[in-house]
Amino acid sequence: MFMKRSRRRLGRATAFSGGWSPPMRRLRTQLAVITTASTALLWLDNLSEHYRGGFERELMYVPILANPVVAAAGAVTAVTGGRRGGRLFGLLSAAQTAIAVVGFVEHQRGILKKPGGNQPRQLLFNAWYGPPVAAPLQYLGLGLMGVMATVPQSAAAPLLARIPVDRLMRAFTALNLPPLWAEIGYLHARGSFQNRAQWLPVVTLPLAGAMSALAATSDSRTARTAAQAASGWTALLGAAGTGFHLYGLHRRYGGYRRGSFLFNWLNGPPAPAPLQMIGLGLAGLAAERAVTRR
Amino acid sequence: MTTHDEVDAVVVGVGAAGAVLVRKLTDAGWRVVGLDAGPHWDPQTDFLSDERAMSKLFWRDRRVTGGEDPIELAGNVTGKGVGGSTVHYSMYALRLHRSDFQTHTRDGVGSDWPLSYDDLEPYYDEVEHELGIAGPVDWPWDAPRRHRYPYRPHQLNGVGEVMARGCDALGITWRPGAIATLSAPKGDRPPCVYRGWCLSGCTTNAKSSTLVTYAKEAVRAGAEIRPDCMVHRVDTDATGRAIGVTYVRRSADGTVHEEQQRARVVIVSAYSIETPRLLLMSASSGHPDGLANSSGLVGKGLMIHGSDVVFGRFPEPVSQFKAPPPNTITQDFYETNSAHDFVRGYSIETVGPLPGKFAQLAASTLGLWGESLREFMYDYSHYAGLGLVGETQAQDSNGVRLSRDETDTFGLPIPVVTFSYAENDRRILEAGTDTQRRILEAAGAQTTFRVSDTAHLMGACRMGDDPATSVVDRNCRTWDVPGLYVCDGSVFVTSGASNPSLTIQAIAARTADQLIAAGRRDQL
Ligand SMILES: Cc1cc2nc3c(=O)[nH]c(=O)nc-3n(C[C@H](O)[C@H](O)[C@H](O)COP(=O)(O)OP(=O)(O)OC[C@H]3O[C@@H](n4cnc5c(N)ncnc54)[C@H](O)[C@@H]3O)c2cc1C
Ligand code: SF4
Repeated sequence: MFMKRSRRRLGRATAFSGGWSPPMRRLRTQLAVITTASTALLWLDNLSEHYRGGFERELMYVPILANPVVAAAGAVTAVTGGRRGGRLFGLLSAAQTAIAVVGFVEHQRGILKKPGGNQPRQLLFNAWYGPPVAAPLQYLGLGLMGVMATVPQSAAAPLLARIPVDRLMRAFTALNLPPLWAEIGYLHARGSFQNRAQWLPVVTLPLAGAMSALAATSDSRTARTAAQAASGWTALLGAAGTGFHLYGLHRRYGGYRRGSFLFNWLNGPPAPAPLQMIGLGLAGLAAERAVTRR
Repeated sequence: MTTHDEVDAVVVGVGAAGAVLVRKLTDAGWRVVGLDAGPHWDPQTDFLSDERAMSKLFWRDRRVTGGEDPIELAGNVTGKGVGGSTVHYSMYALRLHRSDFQTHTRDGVGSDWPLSYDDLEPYYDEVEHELGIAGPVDWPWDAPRRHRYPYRPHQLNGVGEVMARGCDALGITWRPGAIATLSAPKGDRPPCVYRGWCLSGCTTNAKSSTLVTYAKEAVRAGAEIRPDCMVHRVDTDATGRAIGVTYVRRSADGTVHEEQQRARVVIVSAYSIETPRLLLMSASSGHPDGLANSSGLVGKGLMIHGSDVVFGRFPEPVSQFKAPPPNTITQDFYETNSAHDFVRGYSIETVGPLPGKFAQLAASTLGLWGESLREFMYDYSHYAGLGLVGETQAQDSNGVRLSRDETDTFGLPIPVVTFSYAENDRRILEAGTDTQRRILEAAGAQTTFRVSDTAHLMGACRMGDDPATSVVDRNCRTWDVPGLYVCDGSVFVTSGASNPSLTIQAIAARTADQLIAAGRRDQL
């Protein structure tokens, strides 16, 4: 029964799947899955941070409320392989990039508004304890990924004709890494690199970024290997980082004990934050798999 | 009387300085015993979030206070127990300025230290590292630092925001203070949780008191720290050499025994009241005026910091109880400035008394009681307070002597402490509190009131290059008694306008190195 219906559905080309080759269809579904999962996890991080900031401004509710809607549309898209919800997910993802840009601007304004905001020497201090500088850009990245997962073939064709999708994704990765790197760098500096492992992303992400950027300019086998290594490493860093952050929570006073956990979760190393690197890395790897060259 | 076998060193008072000495000497392979008059607390089981109950951390033995500006001695002015005053101190961890070591040469007041900033700099670096001091990325006052603070600064609290806003409006430079509580984990110590109970002891071990840092590590390294041992005599042999100490030890069952500890080196680190008291109590036929007192300066030249606080009331809540009270600082007025009617200067720092202390200050300053006090206290979280660290000059008329007629529970003469401000000190107080008020008003305070207060003891056994005008040399060795060292806040020559503990600890770290080197040369 189920099989029958799905076969019938498959036969009908939707705006989502229409015109795409099977590998590209698979890639788009994978992107939808990754984007949805990353968005949902970002919600947790976002909620923790904005709650910690006491929702001082009403604008701070916007991503918290918008995110689940985007994630829900993404989930439908992912589960149905794009047969349902694809267009809505695409539109919402586009809207999310706008929210991200507003958020980014507001975060900088928040930092500049703090006492001493007019003194360049106090900027770093204010950024440490103000709204995180680059965090909203994560929404920008995920919004763009949502768009990539849903854009109709006709719209994407001219671009893809010039740059194949794997190279496009390498460029996308390369663009995503610098803000991520900056954010990790200045926040790990706030923790004064008390654990040597805090240097790991700070030192290696620029390499991964450079490798992705270079690989984006070439179709060669080396370029592909480099891109795979960069993405794989980014995903690994994400996994390791999550582990370290969970361990970091345990090192705080009261650790995981009931009375202390919420406080430690809010003020300790953000446990869900490194997961974004897993998403980015996996998306890169998926794009490499989607393209076969001789 | 029990006499313990000779060890390499006995340290009297395991506080800011004593704990550093015990650990460093133990690390160097010395057999060390640290004796402290108070208990050896365990913060996790012995400390409570209860202002009244935690006054058990204070030195509450009877002391007499006098002079024109008597110091409040009955409250929290010094600590008792392993960790000393650092268990309940407010954690500003600041260096003296270069000029502080040469006030005589530069400003014609006080005396020059036998040490320079450069002598202490490596030790400042060392103790800042050991304690995990959290400080700003740049320190805009005095000459530049060689190294960054080991930990990044804490965020501004409510009072810090007020101070920063006020300073911005007036064009005064401010920075998040350098504070002895962790902003990130260090070893098995967690970062600060910002509950603000620091002046009642810290239950998390984030606060870098010597109780949970140096003293704990010393015990781990094999030192013996004996609590509840009140030393009342430094013993000397016929040649005049220090050979150990005699103390009364209170056992768990309340009984008291007298014991002796023999040591090759005796180091007194009991702070500016108890150190001179002990030396004076150790008088003998060979030393009728007290040990190490040929200069007559033991107990003289006691300094404090003028620490008046100005509170301002703000329309919006400031929550002065939240996060460690030490938060934000300015040292723009630290150095001598020809535009002022005084020499030397002051720092301004945030404070944040808990409700009990705040009520006490308000009651005594504003004359509030009963209904009026209760009304006033409803506004507790609307107040922000800025404290002064005003330099004072050492005067021989200020100091510590033994009472002739009063004794404590052990039958020992109690200390009599005399203090009067000099004219220059008073001018600093006036100028400083005026700046404090202006900052608060610039930040939007509706009303302000000033509370007079004093803090920090320094001097009373000062160091110097000349045996006639000092008690110890630059290495904290007493001029008169071989084998006897004095190393704590009492060796200060000038007070500076920085809270003293970090300098005390840097001097202790340096003294330990000097002792270790002297031990190798067999010149103790
Ligand atoms: C409330 C408060 C806030 C402060 N805030 C700051 C601050 O923010 N920053 C700063 O730098 N400084 C601060 N200080 C000052 C700082 O704590 C002291 O300057 C410093 O701890 C003194 O170090 P010390 O080693 O000389 O003496 P202490 O640390 O006081 O140690 C002396 C020890 O000797 C013991 N002792 C005394 N007599 C005897 C005896 N006869 N036998 C055996 N043991 C004895 C005592 O029990 C005590 O443990 C503060 C002090 C107080 C009280
Ligand atoms: S605020 Fe920080 S330093 Fe103060 S008592 Fe709490 S944990 Fe300790």
